[in-house]
Amino acid sequence: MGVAAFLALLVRPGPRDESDVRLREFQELVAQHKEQMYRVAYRMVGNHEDAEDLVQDTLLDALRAFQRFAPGSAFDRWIYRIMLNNVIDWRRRRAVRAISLDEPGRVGEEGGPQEVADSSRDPAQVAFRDVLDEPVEKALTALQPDIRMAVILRDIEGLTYEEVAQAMHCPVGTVRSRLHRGREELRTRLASLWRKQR
Amino acid sequence: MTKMRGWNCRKVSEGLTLWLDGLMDSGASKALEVHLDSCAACREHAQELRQVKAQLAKLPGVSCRPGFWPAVGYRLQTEGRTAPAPRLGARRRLWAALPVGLGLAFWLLIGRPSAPVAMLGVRDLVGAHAVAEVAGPAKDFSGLALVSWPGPVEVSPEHHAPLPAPPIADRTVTDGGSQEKSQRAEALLANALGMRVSIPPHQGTRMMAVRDGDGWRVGRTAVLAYGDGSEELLPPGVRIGLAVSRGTPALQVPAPPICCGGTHLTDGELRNLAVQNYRLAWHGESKLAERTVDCLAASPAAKDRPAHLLWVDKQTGLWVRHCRYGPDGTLLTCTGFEDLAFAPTLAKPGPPRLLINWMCNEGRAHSCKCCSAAQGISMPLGLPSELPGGYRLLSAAPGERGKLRWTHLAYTDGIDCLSVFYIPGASEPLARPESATVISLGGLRLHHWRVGPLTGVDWQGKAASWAVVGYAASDLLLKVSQALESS
Repeated sequence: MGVAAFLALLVRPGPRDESDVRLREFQELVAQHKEQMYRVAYRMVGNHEDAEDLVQDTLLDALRAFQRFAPGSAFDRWIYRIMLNNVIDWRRRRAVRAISLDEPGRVGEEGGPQEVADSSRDPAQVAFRDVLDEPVEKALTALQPDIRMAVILRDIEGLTYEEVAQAMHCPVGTVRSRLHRGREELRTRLASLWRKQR
Repeated sequence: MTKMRGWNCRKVSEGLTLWLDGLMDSGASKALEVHLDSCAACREHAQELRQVKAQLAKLPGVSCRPGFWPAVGYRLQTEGRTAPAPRLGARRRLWAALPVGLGLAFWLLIGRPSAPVAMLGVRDLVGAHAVAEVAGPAKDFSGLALVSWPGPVEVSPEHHAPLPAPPIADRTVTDGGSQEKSQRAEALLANALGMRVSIPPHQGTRMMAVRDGDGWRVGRTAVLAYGDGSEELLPPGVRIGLAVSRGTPALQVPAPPICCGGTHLTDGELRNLAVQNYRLAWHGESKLAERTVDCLAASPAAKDRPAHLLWVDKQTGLWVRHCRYGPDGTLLTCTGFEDLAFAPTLAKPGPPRLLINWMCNEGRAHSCKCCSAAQGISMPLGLPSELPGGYRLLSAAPGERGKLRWTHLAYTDGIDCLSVFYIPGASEPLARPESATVISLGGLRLHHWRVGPLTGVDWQGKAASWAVVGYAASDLLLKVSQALESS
């Protein structure tokens, strides 16, 4: 989908007010960064289903908090910070989450029936799991979220240490340490595989 | 490793990250390099870290799936504007109502007919309504679905072995839910089908969904209480379901969405539409590139969800065009086949043809002129539309991930599903070992893997690989898979 069509989706017909102006600003920023944003989300979670989930949650949170975004500052780094919070939040909540499906209610509402998607049912995923899952991708998704984010932003997206620090809202020294840990963990996981291949 | 003059191994190890990034000052860098020159272990360490960096840098690009950004646009438009500003953190529940839902309802059909019966055509789905619940133990996902169809339908209950036959009367529907849900189901059947049924509530049933890192897991502690006062604890791994039958034998639903990932409108997604309270309307037959097609409109109950128009080939059941429209009538996406002359060749061998699947994401309402960004895939045709055992071709769809592209052909007899993956350009069998492992998959069981033997030459004379995956409720599929291989 092109940028124009994407923007058009967000335009509400009728008279414009201040929120429309802000919304339009938001749309333009999202349109500029959406591909990179999706890429980072995908690398964070390792599959399209969760990446879509993560991008949506992140953008919704970002839109609601948009009044706190300083115009002129780096939108992508601001988004990544929200995204990282979301990933950590997911992880925490996914550890234990039980919802009763027994009470009637609208699908999707809290306490109502939940749409349950089991991605393992997709024959393609099952068939090609071993073929497609690159070892490096597997190893990447096994990292802690904050370490993973540092590695993705620096080694895949090519941000500088300072930019990664801004995105992760932490000192540059912390970025350095997370990168060090991340690369070492990846090396440990991948080295045995490389040695076998030699 | 020995301690070297200047820097020792530990200090080098700690400094490698900065050194590899070229961010170490020249003095430190030189000291580190001196150490590397004389320490093989650290040199290998550095080399491996360099390899990690290189592999990360060359990971393939990732693009979102078609239709994703429109869905985001709607969600932002409808929910983002009105909700209060949150703290930085996820609001996960928003996602649960995504319009393009993944498979929810498992349509558990009880009782295999003694002989193949006609499959439900798309017109039979018009007006179909469904109430779905999900239940199941942690890893053996199963479902409970109450499905109603227009027209004369008999509904009869049955439990899968090893549960004993429930002490309930014929023509009674069991529903694993509360009093209110039972009443809803009764009313639904009465309205939709003009039939009166009794649906006793199962008191004490608790169905739990647990989300973990791998996706949804559904667990259940269920006590089923029957009309005569008896109770039983539902053991793990047991599927419960409802038979939906029209006379005898049981009416077949084309395929459970479990088989096909809910990605094709003639099966999973069409049913998802019904589950999500879309209203289906039949807009008559029409001709599309010399094919006779049924035109179906799916209108959403919720205003923020897209409407769909589907054109479904009458002969094959394949959807040949699918368009999604926003609330203001804007065409969001349109997908279809350019060459519709494929269908007749499905049934009989003939010259291979190329089927192009195109995507149009930037068209305007009711026209689709902006297909410059078409994503073409090709698939060989001349494939059999039926396999031994009454398996019929249900759908064909492209798939890709990373460098690998494939065409997924889904065959079904209405209960089991056989997925055949055609992988052009693969001269070697997929590296998955043949396995007899039976994997539980959504209540059905994955019985069969066989990849290697199906490597061969495709219709263009190029190397290709085929993979066959069967989702089976019985051993019958195994025989079908073997027959396919030997053919």
